[in-house]
Amino acid sequence: MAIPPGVSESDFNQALQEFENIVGSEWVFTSPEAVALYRDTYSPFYDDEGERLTSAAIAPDSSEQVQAIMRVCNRYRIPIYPISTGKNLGYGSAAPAYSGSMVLDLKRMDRILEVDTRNHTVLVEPGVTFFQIYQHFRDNNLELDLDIPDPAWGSLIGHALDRGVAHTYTDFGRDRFSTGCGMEVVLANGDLVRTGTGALETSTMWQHYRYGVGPYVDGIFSQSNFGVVTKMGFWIRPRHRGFRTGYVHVPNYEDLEALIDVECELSNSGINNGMTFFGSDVMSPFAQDPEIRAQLPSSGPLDLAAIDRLRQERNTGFWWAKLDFNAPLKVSAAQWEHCQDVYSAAIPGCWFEEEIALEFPLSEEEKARLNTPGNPEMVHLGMPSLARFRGGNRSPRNPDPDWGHLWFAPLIPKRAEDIFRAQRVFDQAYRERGIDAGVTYFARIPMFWHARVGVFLASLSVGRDIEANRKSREDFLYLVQVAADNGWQEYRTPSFFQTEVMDMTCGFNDHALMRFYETLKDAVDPNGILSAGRYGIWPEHLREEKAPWHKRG
Amino acid sequence: MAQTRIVLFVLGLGLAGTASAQDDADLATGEQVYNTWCVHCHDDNRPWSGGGTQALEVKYQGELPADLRERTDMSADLITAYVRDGLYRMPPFRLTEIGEEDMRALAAYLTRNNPE
Repeated sequence: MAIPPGVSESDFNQALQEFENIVGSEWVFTSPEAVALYRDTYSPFYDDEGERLTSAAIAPDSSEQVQAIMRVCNRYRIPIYPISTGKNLGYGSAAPAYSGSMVLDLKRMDRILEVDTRNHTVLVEPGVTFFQIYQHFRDNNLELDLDIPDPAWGSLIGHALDRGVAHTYTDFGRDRFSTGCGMEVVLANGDLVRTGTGALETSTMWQHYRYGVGPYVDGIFSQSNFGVVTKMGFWIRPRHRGFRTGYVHVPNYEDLEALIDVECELSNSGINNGMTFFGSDVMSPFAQDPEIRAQLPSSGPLDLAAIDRLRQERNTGFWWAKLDFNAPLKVSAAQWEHCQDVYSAAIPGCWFEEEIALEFPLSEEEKARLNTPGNPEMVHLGMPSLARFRGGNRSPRNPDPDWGHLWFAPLIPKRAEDIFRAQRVFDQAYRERGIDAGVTYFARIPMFWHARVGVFLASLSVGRDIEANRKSREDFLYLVQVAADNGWQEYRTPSFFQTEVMDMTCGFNDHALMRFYETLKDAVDPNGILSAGRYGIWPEHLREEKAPWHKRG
Repeated sequence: MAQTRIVLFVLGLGLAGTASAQDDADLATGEQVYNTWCVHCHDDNRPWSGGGTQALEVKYQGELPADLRERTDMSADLITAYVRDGLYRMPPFRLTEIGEEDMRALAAYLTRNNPE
């Protein structure tokens, strides 16, 4: 049996006995077989020095049990790391940031506590998954929907606290944390708080008004380690009524600026109310088209004249924007018409192509066509699907699958000049490091999950070749530093690199923000038992050893 | 404290072996577990699935059914090992997700058509 760092064997045995008294012996896991289930199989440290491992796990069933567990952890100084469902694959999964910590597995707390069908809110526990709540809506004929991310077996709360993203409209949960409304939190010291209007014992609107009165603190419980969120409310959406997509094509390289600026006007006005994708008609087929590959340089600037000749020969545009509309078709017809009017006035030579218009409920024929070419992906409609995982699995085009992925996820401003610069910078960085970009960076546009920034998402390979994994780790840190040097910060990062990323990207005024987090940490978790190292926030007794900004003095 | 009995019950099922020895309730539970946790990748290879069936189609090249529900050659210990260890992008499933009883039922469901 593994012992958490800094804990004596006798203290740990005593604590385990007390844990069993709290949750029952069947929910305290110490055998190697059971504990191994908490390994991060997507980790680039897998089976290598530095892999974050778990010493034991405990699975409570209530907030009261979580409180009792926190008290035991404080008594014996046991480091503990909560997970909701541990399905943040590529971002650390269930493994703790501080190797040897126990895992607090909240999966058993999987109750959908309240559903407001009239004002469209839910209150859930951490173990509730997207599959589960979607099925709950369907089974109970509730006229409700919500935005669903790629791994639908993940947790609503975990997704929000990791500040994960999805696919439809911001207000429907595309930026999950932004739809949160009210939390119940067991603080690291074992105290139980409710945020927002939940602080009022007789509250009738915990899930309807997020601020309450006084400071708004919900944000400090995301990407952090100050408390265990045991309940959280969310604003969701009324049932889908219609979905429409349309393409805007523009002819010239430099048209990307107007293509994005007009989209910003439309989406920030709420007229184009889905997630917009951007791409290149001429360069996106790069990977499959040797003629296009030949026109792209091995280094230096693009030969725009050559690419433009290719574009004219193929009679395509240079860039496209795919606009999504989440509204009844009668409404979205007007939205789409307005978008075409604005684009026509702004960009000479642009043209339009309507892809699809769907009314809900979908027919069986329409459902059968989802996720096929020319039709929406289910996740774009707020329907759970794991289809995004097909990309890395064994397939005719990918006979040698990998074991995971490591997400490099820098934020880039939603402006053409920044995107062009990011394309050049990352193309050069990839070449310097000898990373196979798959698709050239010149063809890539960030994913605009967020309203005013994009994520230049790139997956680095993870397998079972230790040397290859080491290179991926070095590549990752190199790319984060390149991004930071250019003013771009990760929106989210794997648990095993959080300290390095916070060091590289939060240095303003001698890491003043990190010092503020540490002040909070010391106040709410004086024994430093909760999620040590999560997002670089280390307890006082580990700071000199673990936090580079302290090591450097 | 919980000491997993995976190996023990797996060996037991491996010896008992066939679906005819399983009662209907176990099979129904096993099917339910499959539909909760597995079918999203291991379905009949619809375009919205996670691609587990597609991966097995490529791997087996027609020598074995790619849809796990059609297999007649898997042992319970093999099924349990894949569920608990994961493989490639399939993550492992923990005891709080698929408990021991559910794991046994799942194995019974997927071995129901095995020859006597």
